[in-house]
Amino acid sequence: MPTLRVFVVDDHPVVREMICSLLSQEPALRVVCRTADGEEAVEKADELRPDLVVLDIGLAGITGIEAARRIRKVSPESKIIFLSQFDSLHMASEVLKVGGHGFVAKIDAGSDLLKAVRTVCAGGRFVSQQIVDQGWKQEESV
Amino acid sequence: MKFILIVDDSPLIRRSLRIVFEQQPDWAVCGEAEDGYEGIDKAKILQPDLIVIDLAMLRLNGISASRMLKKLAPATPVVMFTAFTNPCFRKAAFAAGLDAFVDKSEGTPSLVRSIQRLLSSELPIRSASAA
Repeated sequence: MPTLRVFVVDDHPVVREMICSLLSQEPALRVVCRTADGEEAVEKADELRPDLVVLDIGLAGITGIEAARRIRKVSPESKIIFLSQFDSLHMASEVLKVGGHGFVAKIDAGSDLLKAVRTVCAGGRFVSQQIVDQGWKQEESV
Repeated sequence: MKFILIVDDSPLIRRSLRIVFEQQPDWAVCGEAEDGYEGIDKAKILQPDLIVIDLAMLRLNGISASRMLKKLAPATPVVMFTAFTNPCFRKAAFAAGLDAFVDKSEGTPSLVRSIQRLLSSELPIRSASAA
């Protein structure tokens, strides 16, 4: 199975390390960039064309949503999983419209992130169960 | 197996540290607490091998809690993991008996190294930095 190259973009160093720890459990994943900065993520995406970007919504500087828009332009094949401190249906719907493929509440990353990665990399979309429980519908992401 | 108690008012930090610590083959998180009082109660019951404690918490802050924890179990290493790295806080932390003081902005590698050093020592090591 080919190795998937992953970016981790989160401005909290502890959360960033937590995400990298989780991803390290999957041998097919290789974190090739870890950064707190959305603009750096965009520049690196243009250079490295990652398979997957795990992207915090609440970044300092440009937001995760703006970073996602720019990444989609420079690296359109990259899949994007958003991370958020908030398990908001509204937020999940909005960010998936921007071109995200998944939405994971940070507090549920332990249980949800690898499921999200597997689903998204297989071509599907994923949102945390808490979002589904709020009534998320597949067509809301279109 | 070494058992670690995490004391931090942020559920996300507690969850993140648990995930990172349990990647270490011989570490397990025996409990979590969201403030100093709960940390002391859990330390009495769980008797961890090491405690990681935040500084700024409601009800009882990490420095005051650490003073009481070190009286309770002087040989149990206590590591402060905080974003408040002003030298005054650092000095107060070591005066309270803390064994290490790690800056949250450095992320977890520094914290993991401090814990590894403390858990591998027969006696607690007083350290001014995490490196």
